[in-house]
Amino acid sequence: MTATVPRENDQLFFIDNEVIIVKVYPTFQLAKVRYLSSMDTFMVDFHVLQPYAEERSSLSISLLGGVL
Amino acid sequence: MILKFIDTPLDGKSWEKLMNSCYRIKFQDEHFTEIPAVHGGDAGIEGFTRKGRVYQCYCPERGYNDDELHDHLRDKMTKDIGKLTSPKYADRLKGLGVPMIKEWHFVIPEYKDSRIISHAETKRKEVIALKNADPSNYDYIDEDFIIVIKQAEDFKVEISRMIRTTLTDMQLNIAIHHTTAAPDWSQCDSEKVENIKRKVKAVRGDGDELDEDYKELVNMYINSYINGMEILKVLRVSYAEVYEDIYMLEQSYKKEVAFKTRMNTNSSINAQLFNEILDDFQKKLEQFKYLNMASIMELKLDLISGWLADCSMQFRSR
Repeated sequence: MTATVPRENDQLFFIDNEVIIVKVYPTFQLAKVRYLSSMDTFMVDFHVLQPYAEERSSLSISLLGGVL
Repeated sequence: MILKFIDTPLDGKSWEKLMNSCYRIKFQDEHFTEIPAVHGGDAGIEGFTRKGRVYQCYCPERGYNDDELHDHLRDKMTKDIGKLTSPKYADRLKGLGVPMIKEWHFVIPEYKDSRIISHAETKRKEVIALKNADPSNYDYIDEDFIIVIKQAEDFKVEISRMIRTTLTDMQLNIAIHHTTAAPDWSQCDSEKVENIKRKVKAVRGDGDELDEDYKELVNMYINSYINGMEILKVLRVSYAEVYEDIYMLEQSYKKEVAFKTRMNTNSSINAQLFNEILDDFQKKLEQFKYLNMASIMELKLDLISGWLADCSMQFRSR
């Protein structure tokens, strides 16, 4: 988990996908990012962004049912 | 409302390890026996029970479309049924003391359409035909042999229990995709929207409603508020213990937040106070070791959005 505030155009990992920082909102601990292969942006808490890909396996709740 | 959960890494080894634990819990009364794939191989199965159930795990790569997923599932099933019916593996199965095989389970995270079910039926008929044609060489396969496809959802109870009590390294992911699109205003009470707007202004210290950053932040918090309610509803209905963990933390921390923010009379430190709350709440959420980091941040965002929307978090205007 990154402890420092990222900067625009930094390339970091969101889980195991590389993203580019489009904009940072330090007061709100948020960053607007996009995947390298897409121009669509989305918001994340910048503490989730890491300099390396997440390798630990996790199971999405959508696989366990009860989700539309 | 349809939540788009993020697809997170899930490798074959972790899947296999998780399913071995699930089978151990689920079929303990049938003397479940795991077969490690060392010293002679696993005979094409991960384990068996004394009631003739055997299973094979498979976790496809991510990013396949539906057709690619089906192709990989089909090919893997074909290959492994081929092993089941080959003389080399038959000797190994008998040598391991596997009883007459009644059920062969194909254990996968999910399937998307019925083609794999049809393929399973095709392979079942082939196995039965082989047995009928040569009963003595296929004496290890039951005449009522069936192929069963198992998904993660079939082990929801076992997985939830193991993940929550950290009996497995596997974590749970509840993070969703957050877009920067405008929210569905119909899903959010106007009073909540005004609360969020007022507090974002108070934290920013800038009252310009036409500012693009301001609009993006407000949209994001409204979306997170709406999504957060939906995620918590899913957890409350289907994952009661996980929901209870989160609910109890949220309820107790909400009181602290209300107290801290109401006691502050100095609007110039709104941003500092907000950041302290974000940092502190994140630390509290990180106690849930069974949630991956993306899920921790999801909850942080959604619950904070809720406090901005209702009266739990108050900031004096500048």
